[in-house]
Amino acid sequence: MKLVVDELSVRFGDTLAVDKVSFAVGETERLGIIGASGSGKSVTSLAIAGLLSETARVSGSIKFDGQELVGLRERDYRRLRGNRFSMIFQEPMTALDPTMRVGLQIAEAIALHDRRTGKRLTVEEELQRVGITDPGRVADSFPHQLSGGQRQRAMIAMAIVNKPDLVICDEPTTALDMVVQRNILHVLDDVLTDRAALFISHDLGVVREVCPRVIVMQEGHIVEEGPIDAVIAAPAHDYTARLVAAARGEL
Amino acid sequence: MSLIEIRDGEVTYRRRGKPFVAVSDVNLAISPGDRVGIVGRSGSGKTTIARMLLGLVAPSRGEVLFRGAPLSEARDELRRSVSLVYQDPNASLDPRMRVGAIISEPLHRQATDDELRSVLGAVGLDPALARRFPHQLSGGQRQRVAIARGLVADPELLVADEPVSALDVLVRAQVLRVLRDEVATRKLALVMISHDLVIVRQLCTRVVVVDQGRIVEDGDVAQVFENPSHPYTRQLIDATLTL
Repeated sequence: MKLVVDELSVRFGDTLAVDKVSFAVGETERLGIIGASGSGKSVTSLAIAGLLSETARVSGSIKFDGQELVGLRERDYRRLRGNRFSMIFQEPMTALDPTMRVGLQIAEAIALHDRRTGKRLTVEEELQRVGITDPGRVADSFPHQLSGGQRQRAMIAMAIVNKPDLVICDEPTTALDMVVQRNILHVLDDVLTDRAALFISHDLGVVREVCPRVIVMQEGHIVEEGPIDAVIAAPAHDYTARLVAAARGEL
Repeated sequence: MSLIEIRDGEVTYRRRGKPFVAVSDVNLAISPGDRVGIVGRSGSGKTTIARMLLGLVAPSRGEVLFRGAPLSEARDELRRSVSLVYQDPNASLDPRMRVGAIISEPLHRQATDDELRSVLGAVGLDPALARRFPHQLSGGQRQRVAIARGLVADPELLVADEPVSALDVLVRAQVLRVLRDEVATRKLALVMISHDLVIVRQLCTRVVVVDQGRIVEDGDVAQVFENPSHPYTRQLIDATLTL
């Protein structure tokens, strides 16, 4: 197993955001986590990535390649993050540095974890890999000079440039329009091949495009899990049924 | 007669010092009770068309008519008859005002308790929320406050710009139900901008597809979805992820 989460709980003050959640992700498995706002899905992913605020109290266990992440020092986390595992967030505009050209940011991501400095050629190849047709121009652009879809592609290029074993995608297409979303999902489907991935979304239709298996979270608990087609066809929990109805466009 | 009509509308903005045609050759008539979805990619011009309908941007060529009269003569009447619901309630609701005062804005006076009770009830909110501030509400409650503000002055046309795209999927369904029911009960005309065809199908009977500043398709929702004539419409339909 690439990732084993066991009885993970996250508490902020008196609020229990995640309550004894357990799941595992295989070496090249893609697992979807679905739920509405406040279900605990993003807090779970941030706990795995070690990105929770200092006020969060985390208990239980998160093992990545057998290594315990709960209680790991930030210095050690930094060696893993962006290298052995990486994240793709909803809003690339807040994840990318607005003052730095995109190509340089990708090169920096390489250089941080690798002695071979990020060469121009590598950067352009990576951009091409995520479907950018004019990698030279995009590499020379600042984030605000790119469209939403191009920014998200650049973000994906940065996330996979160090060939991580695990990619955590948190609502990676929510801010995009439908056609761009479809294209980005194709890119993700391609770059996640042979890696483990966690894919967080409130949209079952989106998760189904990328993940064969899904867990459903509500108020910090896992209420249902299984193969995504089975969960959609016959949801066992009322909450899942409501998510399915919403994704079908039933009012 | 149409409620609002754009004839040969063209809007030019200046971008980096040069004129830039945002939309051109726009012909669009909205009749009382019409429910029209405007779809198109980011930057296609759909919001510019909506702003023309609202009298917020003047066409550089062509004209906008309100009940057959040019806007220069009918601007006040248009303002009374048309209201707008924005995408992001966080940005459109003044954080320093209580909900009651926010909803009263279009009336240019404080709404009476009866008016507040009626309009908050219509959008499924507890009238007691009128005393709260926006930050004390959830995202779905805030967007319902924005809809209540859009309804309070009894408009004939409600223009909604991506009204649910900032909301979570379950809250989205709840807000869409409110919008659908109020539009039906009040026999309002609705113009809804969206990039989501599923939502357009839920609320609208007619769809207008905008691509590169031009209306490339305008017709009955079911017909357009079954038989799209423009490549972009086809792309949109293919990209829609339904279960």
